[in-house]
Order: sequence, then structure tokens, then C-alpha cells
Amino acid sequence: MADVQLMGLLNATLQAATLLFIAALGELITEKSGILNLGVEGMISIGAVTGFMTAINTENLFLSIIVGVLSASIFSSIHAFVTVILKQDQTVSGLILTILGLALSSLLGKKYVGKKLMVKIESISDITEPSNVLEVLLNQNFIFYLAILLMITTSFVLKKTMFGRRLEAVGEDSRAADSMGLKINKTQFIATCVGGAFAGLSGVYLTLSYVPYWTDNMTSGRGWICLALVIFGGWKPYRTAIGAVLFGFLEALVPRLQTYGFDLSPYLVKIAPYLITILVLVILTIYKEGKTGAPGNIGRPFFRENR
Amino acid sequence: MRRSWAAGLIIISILTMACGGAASVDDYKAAFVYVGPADDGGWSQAHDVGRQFLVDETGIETAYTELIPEDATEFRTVAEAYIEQGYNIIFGTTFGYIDAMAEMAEEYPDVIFLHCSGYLSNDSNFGNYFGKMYQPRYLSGLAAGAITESNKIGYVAAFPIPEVIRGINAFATGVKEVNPDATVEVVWTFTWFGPEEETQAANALIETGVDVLAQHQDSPSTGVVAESNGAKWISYNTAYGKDAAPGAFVTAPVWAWGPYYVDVVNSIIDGEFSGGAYWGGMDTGLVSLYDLSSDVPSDISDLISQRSDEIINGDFDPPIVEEEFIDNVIGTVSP
Repeated sequence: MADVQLMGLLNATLQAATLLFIAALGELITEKSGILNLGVEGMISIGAVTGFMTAINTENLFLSIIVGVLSASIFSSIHAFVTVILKQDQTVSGLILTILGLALSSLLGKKYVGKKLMVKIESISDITEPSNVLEVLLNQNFIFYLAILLMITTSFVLKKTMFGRRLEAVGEDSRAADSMGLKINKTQFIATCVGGAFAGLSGVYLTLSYVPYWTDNMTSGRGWICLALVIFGGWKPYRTAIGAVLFGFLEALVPRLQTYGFDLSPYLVKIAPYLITILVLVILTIYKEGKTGAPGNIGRPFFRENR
Repeated sequence: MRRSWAAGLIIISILTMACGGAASVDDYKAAFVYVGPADDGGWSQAHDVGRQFLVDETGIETAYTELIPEDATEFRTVAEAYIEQGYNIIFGTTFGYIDAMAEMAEEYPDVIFLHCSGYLSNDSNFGNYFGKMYQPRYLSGLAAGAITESNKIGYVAAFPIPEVIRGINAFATGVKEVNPDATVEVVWTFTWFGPEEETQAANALIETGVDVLAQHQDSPSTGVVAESNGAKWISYNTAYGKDAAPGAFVTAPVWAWGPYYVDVVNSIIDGEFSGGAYWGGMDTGLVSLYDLSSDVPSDISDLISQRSDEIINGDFDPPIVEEEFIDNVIGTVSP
């Protein structure tokens, strides 16, 4: 029985991690370009609700995923427009994106609260009770594998391709990048919309697979954990993935601690990701003289005319 | 001739006075405020079915607003809008409206406030109402104890408050009566309608080997998890949620608010309402156990109807324990 419980915990860990990781990876790409987007929570909500609505109405999963991803991406272009084109404050715009996204998703989803979804993204095998690690892996759906693929691709693109080097240059020092002839606005705009698309994929993973329902505030703070994850991962895809598994493990642990007979408050476990992130920042400050890996230009709007 | 004319006038004026003095259903409009969607398949839908019953029986004009959070300001905004539109009976159907309703009852003495599941009231225009849900929960425990094969039953519990704890204990009392070897394991979700937390909690219980799941929340997530794992499910609130997991559904302790709503509105119209608390048991029809599925053996369904009759006749009442769990429950009342 202990084995079943352990595999159940691992299964839930991977599911929670997949959701956190995809959105965090998107935010990582956005931040690499020097744009901080605090609207992850709102973008996930938009992807989640539009994907769910499409799935209920059309029962076409492929279409639902596309709609969820595109809606969140279009939604994130609000942030891109305000911060890249209008050069306005990124913190304010991002916070607005979160608040707007949550409210808009409640409005859109009102009719769908508690409705049962007839289709859901199934796991790639039909194992119902995984008894070993391999079976747990086979019990995941294709978005889990897509997340792994995205991790490898993103890491490769960032390190080995011209596009990745340019993205990094824009985020590190946009003035220098500009004088080298790189298109700052275009790069940042694209990076923000890619981040939105990734958050949208997290959203559809949430409502079409992980918890196939819709209710207000479905995301319940996960967007903020994603932001913490990017910091935890030091803006590196693989380290972010490790963080996602760790934070996903904590999330899966909350309901299970009670069945293991531990008398630990669930609230305590819920604050753990933030505590760990602060701890990582403290450790980096002490041992690495504050080199957290953050892009040099993050949060600062780029004005060509300013000197 | 003159005298009979005078007598006729007196009779007519008495009749007019009588008609003018007594209120009719047209003088009242009732508004309902729900915490969840009116068609959630659970708690709020049970109230909305009661509202429709009220309309059918009395012809009173009603309105409702759904998805109003348990927040004093949110409730007040909605209730004040109704009062402006001439609504003079306000039903608040979730615990969290309690403070707002108590305040508003003082501010609007001409409006009647009825609060579900609270403990505050006055002796004029503010009453609370609830049902002895622990009675049918005990009956559902008899069914759960009989159908478990692993002798492990899971209970996806909402918040650690007296109402929920006495429900779990009553359920476990039923389980123990038919199956002393079975245990009831509790996981708290801290939600009334949280599909995600409830899915997680139900999965966690399934992993411990339970083959029957009971619940206290308003979403059918627990049933969906039970169905996909081949377990059985004791639902709650209404039977409307059973379509979410038809294969797992065994039975449900359910609410029938309609008759109470009709009674209370009639007493308001007759001028007999005077606030106070109402706690209806199975004898009033407010709470009951839904039809049993074929999973329940016939000797147990006979026992359930026997116990049901005893409760209704007042010969038996499951014990009310709210401070701690009884001995066949695994879990803690103060997570």
C-alpha cells in the first residue's frame, strides 16, 4: 500500500510540476528579454477559461488547446503594448494583467462553473494505478512530454542559437544591443507574447487535464509561484524544472500529509515555495555576491533617446 | 329601509377594513443570495430548487443572485439593491453572510432576513434556519459500512467546524453499527466549492486504499475521482450531482428546502413570523436520504428504512459529537 501512496504522490507531483513549469518557462523567456511580467496568474486564468469554454462547447481538445494558448498570448500582448511600445511601468502593467485576467476569467466562466467536461486530455497509456516510476511517467499526458521538449528546446535556443544570443543581449544591456543594430522592441514584444502562450498552455493543462472543472480563481496563486520559480531557477530552464518538481512536490504533499498521519498545518506547506525562494536569494547574496542570474536590464524600459 | 342601508354600509366598511388589514402574497417579494452557481449540482442548487417550489406553491415573486462570495461588502451590495427594488424578504444561504445580515436586520426593520446555517437571530425580522443533516448522514454511513470491501472509507471534509465534524461522527456511527472493523479516514480541504483541492484530497484517500468516498463539499469532484478509480461514492446536498459519476453514486444525504420556504413565507404573510432559530430534522422532510443504488444489500436497505422510521418517529437520534472524532475515525478535528 505504501508503494501505491508513494507512486500517487509522485504522479501528483509531476502533474503539479508540469503546470508550474510551463508558465515559469514562458516567464523566463519574457524576462530574458528584459521585460518583467507579473501577470502570469492572469494569463494562466485566461488560457484556462477559454480552453475550458471551447472544450465544453465543441468537445474538440485540439481546438481548445489552440484557443487557450492563443487567447493568453493575445492577452499578454496588452502588457507588451503598454511596456514595450508605450514604455510604461512594467510592475504596474503586470499587476493589472493579473487582476484583469482573474476578473475577466470569472466573467467569461460564470456560466461554466461546476459544469462537467465530457472530454479531457487523457494520459498516453491506460494505466490506472501506477506501481512503479516508469508507469507513473506513462500515466502523464502529452503536455507533460511537450513540457520536457520545451525545456530542452528553450535551453538550446537560449544557449546555442543566434535568436537566443540576441534575446539575452537585449535583456542584459538593451543600449549596447541597440547600438549593435538589434531590434529591441520587436524582440521584447515577441518574448512577452511567447511567455503568454506558455502561460496559456499551463492554463489548458489545468482545466482540461489536471482538474477538469471551472470555478472562480482556479489558478489560486500558482502564477505567483511561477514567478518565484524563475528566480529559484536562476533564469535557467533546467534549474527551473528542478524547482518546479520541488514546488510541485510540496503542492502534492498538502492533502496527503493528512493521510500520512502528520499533524502539520496545510497553510504552512502552502507558504513553503515562497520561503524557499527567499532562502535561495539570501544564499546567493551571501555566497555569490548577489549574482542571481537576473537579466541586467529587467524591469527597465528602453528609451533610445535617453542617455 | 334607511336602517338596512346603514347596516349594508357597515358591512361593506368592515369587509373593506378586513381586506386592507390582512397582507397577501402580493405584498411580499423574496430575494435569494447564493454563494455558488444556482446550478452547481450541490448546495446552491438545492436552495434554488426550494425557491422554485416556493414560487409554485405560493405564487410569490422571487429573484436570486448567484456566486456572491462570503464577504460582508459583497452581500450588502446585492441585498441593498434588492431592498431598493422593493424586495422585503432576503434569504442568505451561506454561513459567511452572518455579520452582514445581522447588521442589515437592524438597519432595515421592515425587511425580513433569513440566514441559513448561522446562529444569530432576533425576535422580529431576523431568523436563522438549518437542518439536522447528521441524521441522514448517519443513514448513509450504514450504507457505506456495508459496501466497503477494504474496510477503509474516505471522507473528503470541508472545514473543521461543528457542523462538519458532527456530520463525520454521525456517518462513522452508521459505519460502525454495520461494520465494526471499518475505519473512516478524513482529509480536510478547507473549501466549500474547490474542485482542485477536492480532487487532490480524494486522490490522496484513494491511494490509502479506501474503496468508498463520502464528501461534504458542493462540487462533484470526489465522485469523479471515485468513478475513475472504481470506488463508490456517497454524495451530498442533492442527487443532481450524481450524473457526474453515475457508476460510483450510491446515495446522498439531501436537502429539501422547498417546504420550509413555503412555511416560513406563509408565516410572514400571516404576520406570525418573529425571528428565532429553526432546526428541522428528518421528521420535517427538510433532510432525507436519497434512494439507494443497487450496491446496497437488501438487509442493509431494510435496516436503513427501519432506522429512518425510528428517527422520524423520535424513537432514535444519532449522537451529536462535535468536540472530537469517535474512535473509528482517522484524522484530527484541529488540522
